[in-house]
Amino acid sequence: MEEVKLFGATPSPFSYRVIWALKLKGIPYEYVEEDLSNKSALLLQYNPVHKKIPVLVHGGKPIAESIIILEYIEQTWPQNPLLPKEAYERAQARFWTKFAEDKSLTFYAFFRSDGEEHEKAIKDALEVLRILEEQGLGEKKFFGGDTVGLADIAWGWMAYWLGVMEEVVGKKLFEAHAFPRLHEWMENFKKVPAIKENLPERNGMLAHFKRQREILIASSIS
Amino acid sequence: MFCKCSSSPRLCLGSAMATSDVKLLGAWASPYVMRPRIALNIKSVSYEFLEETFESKSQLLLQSNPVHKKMPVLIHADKPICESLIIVQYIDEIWTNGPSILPSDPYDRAIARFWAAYIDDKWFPSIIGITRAQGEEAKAVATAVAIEQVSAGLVVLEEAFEKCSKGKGYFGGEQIGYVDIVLGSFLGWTRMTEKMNGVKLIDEAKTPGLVGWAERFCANNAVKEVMPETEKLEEIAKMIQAKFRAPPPK
Repeated sequence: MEEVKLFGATPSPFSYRVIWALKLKGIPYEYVEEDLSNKSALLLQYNPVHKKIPVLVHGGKPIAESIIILEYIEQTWPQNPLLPKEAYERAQARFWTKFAEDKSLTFYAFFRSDGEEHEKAIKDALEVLRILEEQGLGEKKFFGGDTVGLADIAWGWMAYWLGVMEEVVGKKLFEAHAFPRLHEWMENFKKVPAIKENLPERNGMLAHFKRQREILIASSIS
Repeated sequence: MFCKCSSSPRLCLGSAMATSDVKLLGAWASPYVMRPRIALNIKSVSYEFLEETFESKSQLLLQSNPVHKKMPVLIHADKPICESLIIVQYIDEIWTNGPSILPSDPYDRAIARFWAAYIDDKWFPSIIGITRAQGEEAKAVATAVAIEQVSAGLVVLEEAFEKCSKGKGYFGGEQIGYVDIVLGSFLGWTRMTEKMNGVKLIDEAKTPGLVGWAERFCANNAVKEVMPETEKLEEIAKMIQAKFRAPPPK
């Protein structure tokens, strides 16, 4: 099998999406940790358009953008599938995956802002959670049904990163009693071995996000 | 009625069934709605086009897309599919008799998805930036900055075209593919922006490949009937601008 390399950065959830997919499918890979304040020449060569992580390099050929990487992994290594076989169900999985992509800015706004903008972000984020709770998950254990799928991986950050964000911001967004299905989904997701064994260390994450929020708030004031 | 449905006999139950089996909710002016229309044309699948109006959204639309309440929505055998690119992928996967829209090679497919995301998330917003600049105080400067952004993006896309087309006429090679549909669906609005601002965005000097590609795309049989006329788009643009300039209702 040709060599697989992943360029990522802890604790980026986008990085972890790819790690989870590779682990779920049992694909061996070499991990390269990038310092985002000092990006390697190789990363810039592999992703000249966006200059971002994650980048997957397979047999020397680079693929960028986390969800695009996931679709590539799914097509190239079909074992332990992340997408259903049936076209309509695939469309549904892609819909909820795209919803995660589209709404990441809302949660980012919750994290990086304060004042009026922050209040609006809270309102928007709660609406997203409401939609997920009532329309996204349904009665299923995972978005993918009985096993973790593409949409679960796309939303996976919420099971672990959201709590850290809330602690740094000093505000609780997600209440288990308000979103019981989502709460159960988060618990189930974190129990999956490939996920459980591949999560960033919490204290390090906390410190990192505290620093990030300070910088973001300071720059929005100036 | 002549049935254009080229899917397998098991699926095609006659022209009347084929037409009512596939419905598309949309509006003629929307680039996003154009995408599934081109895809269905490529596959020679007949469908019923249910036109939405600007003023209000139909019950069917609100029911079929409760999350976003937006078009396009494809309704196939009474099941709704939303989001233009998800619909195009669905069409490609269901109607396998027609030409393929996405490349079959996983790497080429990833590259096609990459450019589709770039066009939708980075490039098209920069086109909107030109129109938005017209409402700014330092209009001339804002417009120049916005135009520069669009042009820079087009140079990137010119290079992508060279790489993807491999000397053939389209991003998809010999035939229209995924990236062609994504970028091509914005040609109407691009031309309208050019006309309304007196600027040439896709031009011979910087993006000769894309100039030829644009002509080819618009003349293609799968595209011709569904590409809106620039003049009609201008009317809509003026309407939208007037709406934004009007004082907010009390």
